Amino acid sequence: MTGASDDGATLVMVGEVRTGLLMNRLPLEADAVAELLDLVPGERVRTRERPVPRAVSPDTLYGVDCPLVTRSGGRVRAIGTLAARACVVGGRVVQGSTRGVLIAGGDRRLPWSHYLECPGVVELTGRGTAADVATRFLSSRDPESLDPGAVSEAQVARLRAARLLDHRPPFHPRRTRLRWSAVVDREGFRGAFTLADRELRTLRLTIARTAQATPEQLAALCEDVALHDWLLTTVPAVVDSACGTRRGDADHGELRVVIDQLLHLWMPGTDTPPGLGEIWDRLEARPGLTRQWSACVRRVRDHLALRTLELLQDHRAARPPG
Amino acid sequence: MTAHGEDAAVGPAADWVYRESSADLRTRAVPYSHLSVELGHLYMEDFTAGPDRLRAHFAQVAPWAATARSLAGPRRRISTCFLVDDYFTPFSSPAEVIPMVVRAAAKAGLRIDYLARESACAEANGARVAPLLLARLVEEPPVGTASGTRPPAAESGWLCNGVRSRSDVAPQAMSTATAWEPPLELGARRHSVFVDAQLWSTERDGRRLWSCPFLAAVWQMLRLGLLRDRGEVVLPPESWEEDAFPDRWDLLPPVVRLNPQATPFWAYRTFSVLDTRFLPVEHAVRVILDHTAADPVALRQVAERSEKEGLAVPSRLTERILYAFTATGTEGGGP
Repeated sequence: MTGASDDGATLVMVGEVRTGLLMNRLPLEADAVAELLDLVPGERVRTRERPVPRAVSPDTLYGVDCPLVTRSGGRVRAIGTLAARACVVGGRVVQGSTRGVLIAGGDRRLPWSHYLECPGVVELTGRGTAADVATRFLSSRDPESLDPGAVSEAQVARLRAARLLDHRPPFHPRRTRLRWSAVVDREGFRGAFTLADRELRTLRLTIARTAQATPEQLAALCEDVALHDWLLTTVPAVVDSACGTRRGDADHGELRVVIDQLLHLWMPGTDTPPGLGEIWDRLEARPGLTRQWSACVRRVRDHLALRTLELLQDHRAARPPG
Repeated sequence: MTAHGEDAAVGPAADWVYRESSADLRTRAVPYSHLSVELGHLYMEDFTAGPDRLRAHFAQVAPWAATARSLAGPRRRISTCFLVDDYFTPFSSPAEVIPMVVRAAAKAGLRIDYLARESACAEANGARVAPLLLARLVEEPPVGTASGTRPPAAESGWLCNGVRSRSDVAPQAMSTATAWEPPLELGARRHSVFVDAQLWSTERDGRRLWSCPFLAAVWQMLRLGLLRDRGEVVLPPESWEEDAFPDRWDLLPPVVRLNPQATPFWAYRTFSVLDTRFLPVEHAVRVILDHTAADPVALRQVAERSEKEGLAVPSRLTERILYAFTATGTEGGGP
């Protein structure tokens, strides 16, 4: 196995973020969010107030020892730990996020304590490079292979079971999955963002080493992308349904929730460290996330303006002529 | 103690900085001795056997403590400690026990720098201690089959060093035709020495009673200076300024400094002189610590400090822990 640690500077990571609506009728207050995310005794929840409230749970480690298949077809085994955490944005959106740094390992499994010395690192044995494995990871459908998504799902499920929540969400939007891989190498910036199906998105990043990105920053960046992709998946669907119905038929309950609780969460790039800003530039160029978002927000406002006009007309028409 | 922050992620020549303190977490650093020498555990049966038993104990420990001191080398910071069980079977009082223990140790030429209460390894002054270690356990995945879908940490209260025998795993799902499969120690050299350690039991009132091996593992982590609670040091030693020690154990600080000139309680390595009856307990301690992912910041603080002193501290926790096992009445090994 050749790869990540050969020259000491290459960093290869994979991960998956699951994003959904918090199972509560109203957005959760900051104190309640901090309590919800207090998952590890002795560790601290990190919270931020500006520009959008966001709280992140401490990491939980999951031991893995499983096969992985490389692009070239070689059998690779992955042994180590995945680091998983949960995030809550604006007291309303929940994310389960799991990541692993891939490095070259020896021929056989070492004592478990060896893997615990580097939490969140997975060692690879077999042929192929860590970068190969990362590429292959995005398209892998093998249920036996490394599955950070299952860990993220477990993180979300853990929160979902919390007594703090009333389990009465105002509506039931689809959850999304963002599978990602990142290779920090000597090459320049390259990337690909793919909507694979209605739930699954993949993000492949190759970043120049000069960006000085840490595993923590890369995970935060992907959580940020996943959040905004989820907003763009959820909000236009509600807006479509509200604007598409005939006058008077529309159920404005969901639209109201979207306006009151989700619109203000759009703040792309907030968790992007200075060296990684290019990723958002590219996403804004193609597909143009903020363009779609702005169009959607304008559509809602126009729709509401029209509705107001219609209501005024109805009101005038109903008034007896005097 | 000094505040020692995590590496701040500050970009090159930042001319504008925005910070929120709740997003910027710090982990307290502590000073370290080179070696922490444990001069014994005191249980009720040792105490009720009378002062002669204590004197025999320290006579047996003294040569090993001296050996540890000489192996550590000249000009090394070495502190000694002693643990009293006030958790499983509380007995007597600090006012009676501490002077007696100190006298008995002095007769063998030993000085106890720090004395700790075992119950403090479970909780102290209403604050959790044992759960801090439990939260750091990471179960070892079976070979080749764990892709990340297994739940973490021991929720059952048991931790093993391998794969349980088939009949131990799910008895209700077994048909009589299923063949028994032996347990397996992961990473065994050819043959297994399988250990399944109980971390706690549940009392009739629902209270969790921590096991002796688990509290002993907490004790080792305390001495290694690697436990933190939200970044703060857990159970820092306190002095006892009054003339007489209190008549109740819970009035005594969890870790009390008996020698004002003592070097720090926390140490890069620990050395424990124990009766052979503690051997299975310490085996379980090693299984627990081999499944512990210690606070990375605390680990880094130890690595940096020891490196500055030109010392190589092993990265594996269980390699920082040394023992001498003796049997009562052997006076340091000889008949």
